[in-house]
Amino acid sequence: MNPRHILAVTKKDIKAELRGKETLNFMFLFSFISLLMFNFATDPYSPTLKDVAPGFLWFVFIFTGMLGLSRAFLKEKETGTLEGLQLAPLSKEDILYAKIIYNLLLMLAIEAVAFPLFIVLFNYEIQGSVAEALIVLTLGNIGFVIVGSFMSALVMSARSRELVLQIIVLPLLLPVIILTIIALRKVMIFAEPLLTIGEIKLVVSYVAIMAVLSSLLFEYILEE
Amino acid sequence: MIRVENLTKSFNRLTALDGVSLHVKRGESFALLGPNGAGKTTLVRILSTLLRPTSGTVAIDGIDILEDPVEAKKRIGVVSHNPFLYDELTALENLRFYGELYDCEPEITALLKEVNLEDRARDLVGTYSRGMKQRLSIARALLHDPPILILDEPTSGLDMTSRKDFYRLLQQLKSRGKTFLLTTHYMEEAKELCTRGVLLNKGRVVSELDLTRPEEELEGIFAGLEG
Repeated sequence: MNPRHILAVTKKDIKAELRGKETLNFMFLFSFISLLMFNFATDPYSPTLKDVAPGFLWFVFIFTGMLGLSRAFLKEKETGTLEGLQLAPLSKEDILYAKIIYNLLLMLAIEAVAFPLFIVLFNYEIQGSVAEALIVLTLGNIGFVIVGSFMSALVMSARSRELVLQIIVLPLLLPVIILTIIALRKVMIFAEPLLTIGEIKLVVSYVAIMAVLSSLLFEYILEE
Repeated sequence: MIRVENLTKSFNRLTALDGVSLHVKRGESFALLGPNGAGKTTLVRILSTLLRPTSGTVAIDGIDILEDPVEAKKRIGVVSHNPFLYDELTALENLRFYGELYDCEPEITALLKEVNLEDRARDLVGTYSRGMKQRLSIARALLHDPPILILDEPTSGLDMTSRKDFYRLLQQLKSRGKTFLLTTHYMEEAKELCTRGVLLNKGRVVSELDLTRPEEELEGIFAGLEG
């Protein structure tokens, strides 16, 4: 692993995205419309909203994130620049790590806008610590982008790859999705302290296992 | 400089390369000729470390590409019909980015001048013509000053003027002692840039070529292959 190479690829991706803003605009629009739809579909003063809100929020973030994930490797593949990266003397895992960081930054950028928007639209009052809720979300995001980035590389040569990605990724992400929702509910509704939530440990373990597996298998994905 | 011994590559039941051996000397310009499906691109992808061979060995400047692919990559520059450039970045940004990946601090201004793009250095590559992208692709391949240039059908899709510009640029590099390995469909291109080569067909080397011989004679070998 070479941090300079990882940083160079991440910086390049961010610069290219900020020039075109194709993915970012799409993700912002999707999250905004989804939150707005949920807002109209529910009564912001209903007591049941308090229970389902963390699930809503995570649902919006996951599907917004899917839009970014499918582009991460696909664009490099379509333009042929992925071969340019493979021709350079950098390890294949560094390409994966850079894509994971880039996808995470994309998701965090969206969430930095969508999370306050959610609070305002739903007039939602978080019972626990906001910082702890954000930590849970970030952990969930890390699990999501590790699995998602790896799988987007795996399906990049497949036909109907964007559809295939969703079909493959969602079942694999189910553990992290469910555990994050439970942990988020415990923080946002029941104000439980982060360190006492067992699901957090499970999310961390899931992230660690997936990170190791992705690193080990990624070389074979890029091989042929 | 490039030594290929008994190289075989199979994709399931299809044998793309079947016992190919060749040797390119330092400073030599060597052509791989052959019709579509002859195995040229597969061979170049193996030499560029993008594909692993099924069997056989490849050494680049004495380095076995399977044992030390990273070191081998430092010794080659690849120019393909795909320029491997980012349209959303400028020429300068593209070269700086690749420079970081090669851990080198190249003379980017001098390189851009060499490929006659110094005036467009700050323009997005997406606004470049195909010929300009190919010239910039040469600058990208030269960033780390590799002794070997692998040219995989580099002029496909270029008009005649851009092709001539491209040849001129390659001739300059040749005079600086770079070793070339060129794949092409065009005999005149091979003759323009190379002195020796091989003719591939169905994954095998069918003939060794002296490209200093008259074109009609060489065309005859090609025609015999098609017949």
